[in-house]
Amino acid sequence: MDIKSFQADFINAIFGGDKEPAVSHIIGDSILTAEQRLGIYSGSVHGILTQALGTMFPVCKSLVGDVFFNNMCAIFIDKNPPNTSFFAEYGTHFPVFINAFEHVKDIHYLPDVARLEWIRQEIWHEEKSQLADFSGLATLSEDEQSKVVFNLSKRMRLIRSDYRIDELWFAHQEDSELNLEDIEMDYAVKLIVRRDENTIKISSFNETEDDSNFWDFLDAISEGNNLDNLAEQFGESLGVHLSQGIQGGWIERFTITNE
Amino acid sequence: MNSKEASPYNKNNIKGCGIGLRIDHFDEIEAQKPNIPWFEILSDNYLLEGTLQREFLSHIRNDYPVTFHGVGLSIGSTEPLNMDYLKRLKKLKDEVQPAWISDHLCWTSAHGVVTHDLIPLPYTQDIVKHIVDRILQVQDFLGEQIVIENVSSYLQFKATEMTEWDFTNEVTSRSDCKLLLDVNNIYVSAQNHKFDADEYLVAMPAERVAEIHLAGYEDKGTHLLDTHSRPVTEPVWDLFKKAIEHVGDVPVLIEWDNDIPSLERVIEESTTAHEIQQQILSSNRKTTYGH
Repeated sequence: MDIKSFQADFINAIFGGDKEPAVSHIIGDSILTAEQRLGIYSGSVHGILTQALGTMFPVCKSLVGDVFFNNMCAIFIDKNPPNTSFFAEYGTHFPVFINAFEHVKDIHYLPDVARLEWIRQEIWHEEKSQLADFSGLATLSEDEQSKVVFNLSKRMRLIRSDYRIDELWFAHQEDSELNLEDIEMDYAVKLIVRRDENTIKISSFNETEDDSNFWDFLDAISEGNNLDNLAEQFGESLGVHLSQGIQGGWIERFTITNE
Repeated sequence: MNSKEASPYNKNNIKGCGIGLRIDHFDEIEAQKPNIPWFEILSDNYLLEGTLQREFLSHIRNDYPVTFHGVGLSIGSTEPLNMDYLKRLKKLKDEVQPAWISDHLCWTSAHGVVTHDLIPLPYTQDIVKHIVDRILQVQDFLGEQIVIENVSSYLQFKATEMTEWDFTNEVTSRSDCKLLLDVNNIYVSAQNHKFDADEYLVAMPAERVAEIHLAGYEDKGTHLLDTHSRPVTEPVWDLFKKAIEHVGDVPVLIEWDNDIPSLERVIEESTTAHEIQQQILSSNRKTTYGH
């Protein structure tokens, strides 16, 4: 028995591939056939991974129901066998999968809910970074200042949706007083998701409110715009936004680019 | 008392019946600091830095001795050892100073895919050699003996040449590693494969046993499934008594990973294990003195 090729056959079999090559090495008996014994492992692996996905995407699970969610996971798992030892990293492709999954096309907001849930996962596992000394900015030459690029906190993400996914998420939390039927879903939001020590806050910026300009400012930073470009885009608001971003801990570092 | 003896992380401080640390109980443990002799942490869940779990572990570490238990080593895999995983494990070890590090006598990943499950191996001389080489590499890298656990299994291989207990004996003696004797796993596999659990148990190298695991299984009708979702069953308590008679006073741990009950209920289970253990040890002492 070539153990290396058996392990390849076994992996292939438990993730929906041809079972026969692996089955041929297993002893069957009157209680369980070799294929059924292999099936116990297939069921166990899918169970472990489905449970992990359910923990990471609880609102998605609640929205589609347990049975549908588990079936959806089964398809996802076979298409995306884990390549990481860390559960916290498994699920990175789940929102994209949901977006392309034909059977949930009618739940238009589901892919954005999945994105929001995944962002929360990512932030839980981001290391805390040190704040830069921004007083150094003042000592830079005018030319250097124009090339400054800012970096947002690693424990923060921006997300935009055409749907009120923030309220939908809150409505699914244990202590929420929000009712699902009261949420106006077709309502575009710009969100900041941020971890503050042991809690994650989701802040929404209404498209029509004045402070949505601050969200756009942070978004422009996340896209790598330098100070020159930011000045061009935000004009007189730049100083206020920059000060707000640094003091609020949204902006953590800066670098000088050569471009 | 010198400073080394005073350290709560000294290996000798892992005594009695501990429990597996689970996220569901984090807040309660932190708030109440219950009287639990030690915690076993699922090390794979703490290998990413900056996480909330990692932060909580640093608090736990101040109050309790801990051991590491992982599934990611994949000691029976044919792909090279995952050095990224091992480096993270070593870093965590240096930071937390567990009494020991344990993993399983099986494989979990191969060909770039991680199953997160414990898959058995054929028991052959070739596989013994393969695993011994890998355990030696791991021990060399970590700078200490590791502890290897027997797993539950639901299938057997045509290529198998020896019993699981002979295989386990050969692997542990040739790699000079320690053994985590999972009594529930012995019972589950014995039922699934119709072998004598007592024969398996007494064949285990008592001097190498660093820890005993107890957990609950589910009866699926055609087989027992090691789910860690139930209380320890009577036949496993009976086998546990025999295990204590065989290996003596070693630390015991209750694992409860699914359908996790209250912390109080898990502690109750560990108290039962402790009482049984003390009863057997005390009765053995009386027998010894009597002679």
